Amino acid sequence: MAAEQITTIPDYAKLKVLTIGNHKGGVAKTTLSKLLTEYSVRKGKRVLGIDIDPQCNFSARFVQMTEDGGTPPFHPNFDPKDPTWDELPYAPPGYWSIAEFFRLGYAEPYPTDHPTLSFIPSHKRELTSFLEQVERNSIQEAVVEHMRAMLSMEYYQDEFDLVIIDTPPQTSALTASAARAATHLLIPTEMQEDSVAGMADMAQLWQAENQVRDTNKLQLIGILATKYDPQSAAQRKTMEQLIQNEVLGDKLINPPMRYLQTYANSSSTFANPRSLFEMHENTPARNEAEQFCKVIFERIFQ
Amino acid sequence: MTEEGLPRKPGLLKRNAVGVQPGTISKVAAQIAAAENAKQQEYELRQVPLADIQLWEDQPRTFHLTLSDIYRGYIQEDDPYRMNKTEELEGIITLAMSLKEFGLLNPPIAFALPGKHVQLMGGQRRTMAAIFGLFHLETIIDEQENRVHELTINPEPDLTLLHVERITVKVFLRKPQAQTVERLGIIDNVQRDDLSIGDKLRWLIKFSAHQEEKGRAVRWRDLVDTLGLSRSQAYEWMNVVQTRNDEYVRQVIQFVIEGNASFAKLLELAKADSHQRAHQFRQWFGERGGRGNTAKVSLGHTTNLNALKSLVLANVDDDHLEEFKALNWDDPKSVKKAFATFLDYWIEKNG
Repeated sequence: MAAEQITTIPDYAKLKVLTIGNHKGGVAKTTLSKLLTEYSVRKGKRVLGIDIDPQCNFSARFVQMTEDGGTPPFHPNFDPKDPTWDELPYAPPGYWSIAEFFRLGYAEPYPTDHPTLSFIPSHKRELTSFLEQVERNSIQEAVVEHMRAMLSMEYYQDEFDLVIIDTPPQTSALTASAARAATHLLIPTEMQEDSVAGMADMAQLWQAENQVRDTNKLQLIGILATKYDPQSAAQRKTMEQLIQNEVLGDKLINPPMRYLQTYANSSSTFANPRSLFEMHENTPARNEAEQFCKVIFERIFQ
Repeated sequence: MTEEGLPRKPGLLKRNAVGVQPGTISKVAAQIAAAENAKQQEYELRQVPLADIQLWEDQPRTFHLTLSDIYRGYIQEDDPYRMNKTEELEGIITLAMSLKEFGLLNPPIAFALPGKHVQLMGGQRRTMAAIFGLFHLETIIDEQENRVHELTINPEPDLTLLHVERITVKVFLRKPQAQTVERLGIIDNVQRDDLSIGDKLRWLIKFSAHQEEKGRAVRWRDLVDTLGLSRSQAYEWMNVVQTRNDEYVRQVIQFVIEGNASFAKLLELAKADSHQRAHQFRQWFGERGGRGNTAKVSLGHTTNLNALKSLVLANVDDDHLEEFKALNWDDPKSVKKAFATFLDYWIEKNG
């Protein structure tokens, strides 16, 4: 029967796909996605950011979302007078989002301030309704395969070195789709009970993923402790417990991301300076971020 | 308050930093280690909460019972399928008792959906029985220290229990192709409890059509593997596959699926020469192309062969009289055959 099963996990030539996920919310997945995107672009990589979280926070950082914050703007290539837009099987009203990516199998990435960064934003309303549709019609299976099939197309293989996917904090076909598409996985976690326990769910998804892959296993970059407060005895203790654990100790990325207001300030949509990496060299958050981003970056491109 | 009546200074009760429960850490570590070392595999045995198991709508077994019937524990008076459902429910109750007693010997099979849900491909009855057992069976110890499973119908059970109670399920990690799903369902059923001929035949016809679309032939091996037939049986069934598009055979297949004709008749018709089928068909089923009344009547038993002889001879016309007279009316076997012939004759004449 093995022969009858479809083994359609396409291989990428050299594209790396990093999925950042933890089933627990609020563990700085999005902040980390933003930082890594900026860092990789600064390191000269051609990056594609993909946001599959209906909250659209990752998108809002790089694409000027319209006033409700949940709708992408008109695409710069959109020309209302161009008849080809009307010929599309489902013509979006001038914008592309990850919802179109799943529905049509195509979405035009948005250019950003950085010439080597493109972005496929999320869309609050469309993505939510798409998810409902998926649940209703039980087409989760099709959705799971979708993102990987798309990214293995020549266009993405040629145009980009790294894809960074920010995931929503719940199990859905979209998260599974991001895991299927990924070559690398990064799990951020807070140093507290619920977030640590949330890693088990993520690891379950990881396991399921590796069980269907014969080669090109999904690799764990590591676990990054986020919002870490060294002043808190409980958090220090938790960190100690993780370090001393045989399995988790090796996975922990050093240094951790501390609980610093600078992270929040620098990752807002209208932050000034634009990026944490443009701040003064002595900024503690910048130093720290450069260190853990370097570790992650090197593990991806080793 | 202290003895002097002054409030206690804050911070006197110092606690140790707790950190995370050691159990949580080891659970996460185990899961991560398992994920890292995961090998490619086709299926795994999982403990799945009953709430996460999606039943199979299109299963090969003809089945009327629904989940709400199982939750309720009895069949409603005005249910259109009351008869069938009652019969099925009795089977479920027996199965549920056996599950309570022996556990699940043969886990249901399913494939994994994204997230925690699994979709059943076989083992619908076992799953239903597990739910029934959870809600409506109570195990008590009687005076002789025996475990007795008692029926305690609870029409409004606590459905949240479904999230707690787990059963073992053999979960395929990727969805097999639709045809494989169907085939697995059949195999799973055949391995446990025989399906009716009609159900098997329905699958066979569907399968043959599938194969034909793909330009492949049905092989007797398929029948042996899937339906659990012996080789010689499979060869007989192959006759049906080969002649299934014949006008008369097709009708009889439908009759067999509906339970209105015997499989033996179908085999005989499939084996007959094509030009004889029309005659044969009419002889059995009359001009209407089917028996109006689906209920069978048994005509009872007698040792008085003479009475039968007089009954038959009194009712045949002159053309057939000699033919019937010539038979050996002392041999029970021959009389039985003669009476069957007479019945067919009578039905053809008066039916």
